[in-house]
Amino acid sequence: MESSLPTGRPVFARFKDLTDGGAADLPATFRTMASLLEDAGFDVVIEFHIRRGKAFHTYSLRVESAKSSSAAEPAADAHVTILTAEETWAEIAAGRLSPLDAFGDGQLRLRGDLVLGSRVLKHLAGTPGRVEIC
Amino acid sequence: MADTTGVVTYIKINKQAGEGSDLCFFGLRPQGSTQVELFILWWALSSAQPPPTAADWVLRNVCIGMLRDSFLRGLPITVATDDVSAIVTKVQLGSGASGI
Repeated sequence: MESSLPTGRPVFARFKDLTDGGAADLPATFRTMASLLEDAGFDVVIEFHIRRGKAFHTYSLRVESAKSSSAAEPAADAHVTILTAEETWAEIAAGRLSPLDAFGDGQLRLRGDLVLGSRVLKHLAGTPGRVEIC
Repeated sequence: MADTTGVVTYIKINKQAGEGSDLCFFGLRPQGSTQVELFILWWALSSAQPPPTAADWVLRNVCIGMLRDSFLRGLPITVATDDVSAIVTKVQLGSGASGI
């Protein structure tokens, strides 16, 4: 039996702080995330659709052959796509909210290769906990 | 609200309520997309909410029936969610019900 919260939900891993203690702006969190994935041992392209107000803004990060980049533009070859609100991403990037809890709470949508997404969460985990839902 | 139309690629039901995994997830490949999106039909947290009623289960079975038809026959379904939520509020099999 794995540990779980009082609600019954398993404890899911949260990211390390990607915000430099809260100083980083939104694009900087993607740059940090990309750079931390350089030594993950796998390539990944992630696209983010971040809702600010009523509009969505698109960002992407790319890790290929241990080199990373990020941009405020879509990635047609993304392996994983994440849709969420800016305030939710701020909580996730600060390591206060697991992306899987956000998903279960109806605050985040996931598309693409979820196995690869779990590997990303495992590599960036700053807390113990599950990196996949079930 | 956001409507997503596509074909179901998998359905997963798990009844391990004591481990927070009483759930039904399904994958949907939206039309024109190469990526499968993960949706939640239900994810019950055993001690945080009352157990499902008979009416809940009837509704769940109807929805699962539509998902199964989409999976087996390749029929498109449309699911409604909030624009940043994977929790499905409405499932529609077939077209022609707009405005209902």
